[in-house]
Amino acid sequence: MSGEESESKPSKLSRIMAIVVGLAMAAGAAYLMYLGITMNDFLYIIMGFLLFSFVTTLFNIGVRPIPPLMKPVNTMTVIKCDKCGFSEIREFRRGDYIFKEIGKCKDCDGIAYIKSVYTIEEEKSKRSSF
Amino acid sequence: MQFDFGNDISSILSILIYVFFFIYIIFAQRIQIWAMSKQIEVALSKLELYSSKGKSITINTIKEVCKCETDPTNAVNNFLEFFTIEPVDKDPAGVLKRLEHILDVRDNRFEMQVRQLTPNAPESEIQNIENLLEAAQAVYFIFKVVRHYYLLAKKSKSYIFIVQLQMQLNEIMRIASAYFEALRAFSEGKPIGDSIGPFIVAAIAKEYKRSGKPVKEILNYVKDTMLYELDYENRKLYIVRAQGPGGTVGKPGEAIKKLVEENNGKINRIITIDAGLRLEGEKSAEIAEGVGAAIGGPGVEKFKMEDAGVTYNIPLDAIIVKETIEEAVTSLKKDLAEAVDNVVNRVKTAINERTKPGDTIILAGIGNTIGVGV
Repeated sequence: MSGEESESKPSKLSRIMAIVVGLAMAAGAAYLMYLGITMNDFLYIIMGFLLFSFVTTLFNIGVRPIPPLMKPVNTMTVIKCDKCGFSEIREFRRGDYIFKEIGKCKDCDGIAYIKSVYTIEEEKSKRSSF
Repeated sequence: MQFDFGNDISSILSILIYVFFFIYIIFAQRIQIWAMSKQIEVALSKLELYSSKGKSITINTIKEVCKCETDPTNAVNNFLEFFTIEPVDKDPAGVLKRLEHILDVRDNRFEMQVRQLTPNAPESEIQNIENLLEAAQAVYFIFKVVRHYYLLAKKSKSYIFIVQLQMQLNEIMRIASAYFEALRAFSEGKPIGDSIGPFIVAAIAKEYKRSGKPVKEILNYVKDTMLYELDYENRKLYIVRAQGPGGTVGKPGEAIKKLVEENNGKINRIITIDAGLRLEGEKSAEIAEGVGAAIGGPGVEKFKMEDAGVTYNIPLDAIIVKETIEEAVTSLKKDLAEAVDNVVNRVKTAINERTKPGDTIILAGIGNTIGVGV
C-alpha cells in the first residue's frame, strides 16, 4: 500500500485542451480591450474585461489534478539494548510494536527491544513568515 | 460612445459580444454552479475511491489475519452501515451514564462481530481490526454525506447547497484523507500520533523497570486499561494507560475513579498526558502544560476524571503534545516520536515541582495504544 493506487484524474489531453481554450479566450479578451483602447470605445473594454473575468473564474474554480491517494512513507523501527547501548534502525515489519522484546542483543547478552516506531514522510518545505 | 456596424467582421464581433454579454448576465449563477459542481464531482469521485479502497484494505486485512476460507465482504458491507443513536439530551440528567451504556454496547457489538470474522486472531489484532473498521466507516460516512448533499443540490437546483458544499470541500477532503491514511496504520498495527500519551507514560515505567527498580503491572485493571505501580523519588506513582499493543483507548476515567476510591481519595495530584490538536501556525511536537483533564472523546471518561477530582479536591494537571488531526490518526511521525524523551523530562519536573515526598500521584497516558506494548 504505498502510492500505487489507480486514480481518476482528467486525461493529459483534456487538460492541455482546456488550457489552450482558456489561453485563446484570454487572448480574445486582451484583443477586445486593445480594440476598446485604440478605438476609444468603452463597450469593447467592458466586453474584454467580462470575457477575462469569465476565463479567470473557470481557471480558479476549475478541475485540478488529484494528488496520489496515499502519500508514500517509510516507517522505521528503532531497536535498542540498554546494557551495551547498541542501537539499530531498520524498516518496520508487521508485528513490530514499541517496547516489544525482540531477543538477544547482537553485541552482548542483554535483551534488545523496540524503542520506537516512526514514519518519515517527504514533505515540500512551505515558506511562511509566521 | 460609438459602435460601428459598417464592417462585416466588426458587426459579427459586436453581435457575438452582445450575445455573450446577455448570456453571461442571465446565466452567470448557473455558470458558477456548473463550475462548482464539477469541483464537487471530482472530490466525490475521490471520496468514492477512498471508500472502496478503504473497504478492500479492510477485507484484505481481515483475510490476512483470519487465514480462513470465509469471505468477509458481506459482513464488512453490513458493518459500514452500522450506526449508533446518541441518547436524548433534552433531559440532561444522567445523559453521560446513558451515553456510556450505549458506547459500551456499541464496543461489545464491534468486538463480537470482529471475533466472529477472525475467530483465531490474537486480542491485539482484533482491536486493530475494530479500529480499521471504524476508519473505513468514517471514510464511507463522509462519502455518503457529501454525495447526499450533492444529489440534493442537483435535485432541488439549490445554489446554497452547492456553495456551502464547495466552500467546505477542502476541510472535508482533509479529514477524509486523514482517515484514509489512518487505514494504513491500523491495518499494519503501527503506532499513530494519538498513541503518544500511552507511549510517554509507558516509557517512564519501562525506564524504571530496566534500571532494576520494582514496577508492579496490573493488566486489565478496568476494561482494556492497565496500571503500573512504582515508587518515584519517595512518591507513590500510579501510571494508567490503555492496554496495548492492540488499538484501544481503554477506560482511563474509570481506572482513575477506581484508583481514587481505592485510595479513599488520598491522591495528591492527577496528571494527564495526551495529544492536543494544534492551531495552524503552531509547530507539531511542541509541548504545552495546563490544568484540567487532557482527554478527548465523547466526554464520558473526562467526566469521571473531573468528578473524582472535584469529589476529593484533587488538582488536575494536563500536558499535551501538539499535533494536527492528520498526525493524530496516521502513523507516528519522527518529530513526535523524538519528542517523547522531552515530555518524559517535563513530567518528571512537574512531579518534582508540584508534589512532595510521600505523596501519591496518578499519571495517565491518554490515547489509542495501537503499536505500544505493555
